[in-house]
Amino acid sequence: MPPPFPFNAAIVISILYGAYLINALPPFSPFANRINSPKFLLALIALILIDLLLIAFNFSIVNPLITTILSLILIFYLSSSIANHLLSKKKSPRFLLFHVGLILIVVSLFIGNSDRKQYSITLYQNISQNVALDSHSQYVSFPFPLTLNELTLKKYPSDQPKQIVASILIDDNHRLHAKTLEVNAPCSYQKYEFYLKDYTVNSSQSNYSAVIQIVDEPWKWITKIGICLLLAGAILLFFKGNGGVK
Amino acid sequence: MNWDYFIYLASISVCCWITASILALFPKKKKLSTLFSLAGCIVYSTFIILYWIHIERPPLKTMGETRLWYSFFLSIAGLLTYYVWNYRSILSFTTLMSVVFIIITILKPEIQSKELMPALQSKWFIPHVTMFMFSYSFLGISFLLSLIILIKPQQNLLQLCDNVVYIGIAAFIIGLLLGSLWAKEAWGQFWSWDPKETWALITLTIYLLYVNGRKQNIFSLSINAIVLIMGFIALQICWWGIKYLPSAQNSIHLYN
Repeated sequence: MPPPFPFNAAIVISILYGAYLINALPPFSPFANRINSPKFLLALIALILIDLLLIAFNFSIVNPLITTILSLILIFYLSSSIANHLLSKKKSPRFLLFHVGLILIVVSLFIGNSDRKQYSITLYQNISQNVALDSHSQYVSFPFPLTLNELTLKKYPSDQPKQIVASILIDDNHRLHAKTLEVNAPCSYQKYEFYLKDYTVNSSQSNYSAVIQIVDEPWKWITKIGICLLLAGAILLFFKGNGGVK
Repeated sequence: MNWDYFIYLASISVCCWITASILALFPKKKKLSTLFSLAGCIVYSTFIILYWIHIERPPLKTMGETRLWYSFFLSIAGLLTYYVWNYRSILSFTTLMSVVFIIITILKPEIQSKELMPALQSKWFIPHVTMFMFSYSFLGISFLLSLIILIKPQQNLLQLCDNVVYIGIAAFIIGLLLGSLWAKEAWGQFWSWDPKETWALITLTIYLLYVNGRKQNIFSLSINAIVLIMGFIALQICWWGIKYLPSAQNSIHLYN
């Protein structure tokens, strides 16, 4: 597991700067040539593929150490490629969109993952609750007590759920903030995002409970920017095909 | 238009596509062949639209419904490959593959009610699934071409493979990214190592191996074809095969 902020950010900045230096300084050029070689890239893709196959066949559940090491190598390779690309004065927008986008996604999802906090709170009708289960299955105290005000369940004629709406109250120092949650429609308060994860309701809908997942993900905007860049690169690839490859 | 009409409209589309495939073998009949192929696609898409209106939700929920789209996008991909890159035999292969999927869909329609569970009621649902089906069809063409390469090695076919693979992986990446944005909105996580996600990444990685190998001319003709076949196998596992994997029984992405 990578260290938390600011150490993970420092590691990433060091990798980026290191990748720039090996490409900019002549004494390191043999090393840079090896890193930027197609064979290195193919070997890296093959390693990632093996790791993914191990995960897929459940031979090893996601191993944080291997994933972190592979992520760091990938970030180093991608940043070295960008440095090499820019120093040789090439300017392929698609290359930059793909590489920068991928760096941002890998950095935020795998290196920034250590700053991600996730809680799960089971709320019962009109009972204030701040005891939450964190991502390590430990009971912790969530800063704001939550109350499930109402849970509305609309059903299809076949009795299958059609729409579930949960109204919650967030108690911030006795100031109550009303929020509404739906599947695919989370809400946010301060740095936290609230998701409707599960629910139970009796047949007369008079007794209900809901499981609320709370996420604090400080790197999410980096991920979103990375996704946007990669999307732009994929759209360019879609319309230009291999004609744009340099 | 309910499901009972599918067999009739699909038959009309298949007749158009078979006619187009035969005409495509004659170089001077390109326009006529294109028109027949296009007519088949229009008839087929008309059914999809009217069926969509009838069931009051996007027909993308069940395996059978995704097969419906696969046959449609396969015919579109075949038509584009024929029209843009002038590969005449492709229409025959895509028609054959579309017919196989149409027959499976007729035999096993997996038609469900008009209901759409809350988890699927999202703005990301339609673009996410259709981009994947579009991508699967182009990558399916690259699989057909790689089989031809293995049987009768031709260097120029690999160029054609490149063209369809680039479109296929571009659509695949878009589908994957839209899916991650949806996952964030639904569960608060962009990526959760669900078996379907892992197999999508495996599929993409195999195609990236092909693309980077081709850029540097590292692999031989037959190795390139084998990598594409491996990519297609991974894609099939990703699409429907994970249902049979013991490790994927708790996947949130299983159809039905």
